[in-house]
Amino acid sequence: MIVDLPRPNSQEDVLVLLNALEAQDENVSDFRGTKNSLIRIMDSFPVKSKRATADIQGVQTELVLSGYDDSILVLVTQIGKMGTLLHAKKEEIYGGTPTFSVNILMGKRDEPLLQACARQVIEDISNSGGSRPLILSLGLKDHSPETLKSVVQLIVANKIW
Amino acid sequence: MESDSSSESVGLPLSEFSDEAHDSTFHFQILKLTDQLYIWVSCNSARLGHLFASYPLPFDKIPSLTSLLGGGPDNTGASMARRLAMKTGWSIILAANLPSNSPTLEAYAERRLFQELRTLGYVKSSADHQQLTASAQ
Repeated sequence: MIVDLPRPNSQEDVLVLLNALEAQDENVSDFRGTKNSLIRIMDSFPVKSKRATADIQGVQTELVLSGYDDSILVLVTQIGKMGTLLHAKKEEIYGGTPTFSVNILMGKRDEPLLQACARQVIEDISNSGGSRPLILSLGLKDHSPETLKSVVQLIVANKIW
Repeated sequence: MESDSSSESVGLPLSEFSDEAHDSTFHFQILKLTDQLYIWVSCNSARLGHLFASYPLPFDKIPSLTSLLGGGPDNTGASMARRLAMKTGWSIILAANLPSNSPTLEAYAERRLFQELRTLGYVKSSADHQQLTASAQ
């Protein structure tokens, strides 16, 4: 039996497809067996991402977080651009408290608060038991301490680690 | 098997999709910013890979290229970042996690990526980029 249906895009589509098959023909147990693998393929995108929009000091702020196997990407933008790109990682010291290093990959190097922001986020990752380095992109309209504080709060409230 | 998940509902336009070819699984992420694209291309894993930045220059036909994290300008993905900047006219941040010993896989990933960018309307018209590539050579 050939069923001409559009390519399924979600778990629901697969279930609808299977139910439609079942209504026509009882013998879909083989399909049922592959249901889980079908759903696995659908949901197989290996990087979990999260997006949010918030209002910080009256400015619309977009947030995107992506968790890769070896890094975490956090993108915060008020200007629609990536802005300054920072790389922060934990440096494990044997028998001691961990230290953190922050590097500026691209952008403003004369703004210590941006580095402080990356430092606070990597510390939160570390406190949550994570060990992945952080890539942080900050495209902010102003670099006041209040804005940076709200940005850190926004990131931590939407954390994926 | 190919899966797409892209929605414009919340926040910035982000496209995520996977594709299988040459016995490998490719994953792509495309995030559209203002005159900028963040793109992640990966083969068989969810690692970030090397990070490159490329942006078009006003007085040069060949876009500039910087390696931000891991890898140098001769690594896989470097030339891809340049071609992305050339064909979109935008600044590109590219994270590429592709095997260094397989030009076939790299070529496939780039072809698939441009196919998607064309669908999304992010690539300049063919006349424009033919002119660009011709003058770049």
